[in-house]
Amino acid sequence: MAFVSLFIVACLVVQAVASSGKRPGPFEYSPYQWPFIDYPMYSLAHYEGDEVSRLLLIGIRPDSTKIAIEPEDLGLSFFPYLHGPIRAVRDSSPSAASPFRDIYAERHGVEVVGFEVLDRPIVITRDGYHPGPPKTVASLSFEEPAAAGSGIER
Amino acid sequence: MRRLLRAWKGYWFRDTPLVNLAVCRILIVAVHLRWLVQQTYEYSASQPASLYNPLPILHVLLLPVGWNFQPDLAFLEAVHYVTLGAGVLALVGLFTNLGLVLFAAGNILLQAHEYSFGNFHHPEAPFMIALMILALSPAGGALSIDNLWRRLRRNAHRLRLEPARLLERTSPFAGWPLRLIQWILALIYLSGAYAKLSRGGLDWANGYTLRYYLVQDGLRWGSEIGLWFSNQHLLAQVLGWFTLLVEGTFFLAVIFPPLAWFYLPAAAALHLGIEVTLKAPFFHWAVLYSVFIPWMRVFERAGGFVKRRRQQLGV
Repeated sequence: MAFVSLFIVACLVVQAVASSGKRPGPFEYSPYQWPFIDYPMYSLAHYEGDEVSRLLLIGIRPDSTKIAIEPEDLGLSFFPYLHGPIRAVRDSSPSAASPFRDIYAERHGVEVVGFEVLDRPIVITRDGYHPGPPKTVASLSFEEPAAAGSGIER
Repeated sequence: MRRLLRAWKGYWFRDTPLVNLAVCRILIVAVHLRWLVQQTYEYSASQPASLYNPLPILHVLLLPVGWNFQPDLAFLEAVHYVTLGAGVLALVGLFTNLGLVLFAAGNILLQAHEYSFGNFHHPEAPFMIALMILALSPAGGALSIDNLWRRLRRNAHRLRLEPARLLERTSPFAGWPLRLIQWILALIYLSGAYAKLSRGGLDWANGYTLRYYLVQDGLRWGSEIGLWFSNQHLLAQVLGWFTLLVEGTFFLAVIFPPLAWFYLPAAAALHLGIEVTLKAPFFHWAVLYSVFIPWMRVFERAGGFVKRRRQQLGV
């Protein structure tokens, strides 16, 4: 009974701590405590005029031309794409982004010297939703590009 | 202190029908087995080593083969089949606890591996916790081959046949797993409500919030019905308040069991709506609600109903 009681307390405490979203030291990021985790999905409030982000990775070739890189181009599904290359570029982390440069070069035989993240937002209004103007939200360079770009290839 | 200990014992370790626990074992294992059968590992096994960032629990489970061992496809498929076998044992109740331990460990290993490449989701977590809890419980005490075998041996030893009396068998250890899973679910829902209220406050239910997520996931996953709902502002407001109410007060169903008659269908409807519109697969959580149902009473009432019908029909 003592062992079971300890197990009960441990489960409840760990889940309660995880549920609060506050994590100590090495458990700073939610999945580290998995399967005891918090559930913050869809938790931000949104308002009229807010934009739904739709992010696309753009590769910059040595001649500065740009190429759209979809998740399947890297052999990734949607969330690894978002949490992998997109996050690496937004965090301005060349070390986190370089594996994706290498994967892209290996799969397509195309060298890229930098990445950009392009947002093609959708605007929420009282009556519905409509596309907003595209904009570059982050960029990262592995080296300096040679010249200005000329549109995005697909 | 003694009164506190007595209250603790009275809450967690009061005599509970073993059938209640056994039905939950069968339902939870069956649903998870069905899910496991559909899993493939080519995607995660083909990910490059540079993306491999194992979750701590995966390190622990892989310790016998090396702290930094990265499983290949053959290893994952071997674990998959061992886990399936263990699940079948747990389902039929043969070497039930061993089956449950292996089923829980195998599922946790496979899922943790999938989540070790930056891809992380929520639907499986409460199942993993529930399987761990069941593995430490007398879940094979009824509706199991283990129990049947035990009774046969006892009858053979005594040289007389005793009736099974399935519904009458109780154990002080049959209730805690059910109540613990109830509380884990309550804490999970509370986490959802807390995150919404602490980040967005009551504005979360302003209609725009829900419509935002319906557009986001509707476009992302191609949900026509989600995009249709995203244009219904008043409905989005009502559903926003309903979500906050159910998630924020679900724990009341644990404290006041009759309220489960409201909360279980409400939460199941919520998950069904999320699955249909946002394509987020949470509806199978409904099987975890089986821990709220007093199965023995259900069977007794069903038995009484059948008996009365037979008497009425003169059978």
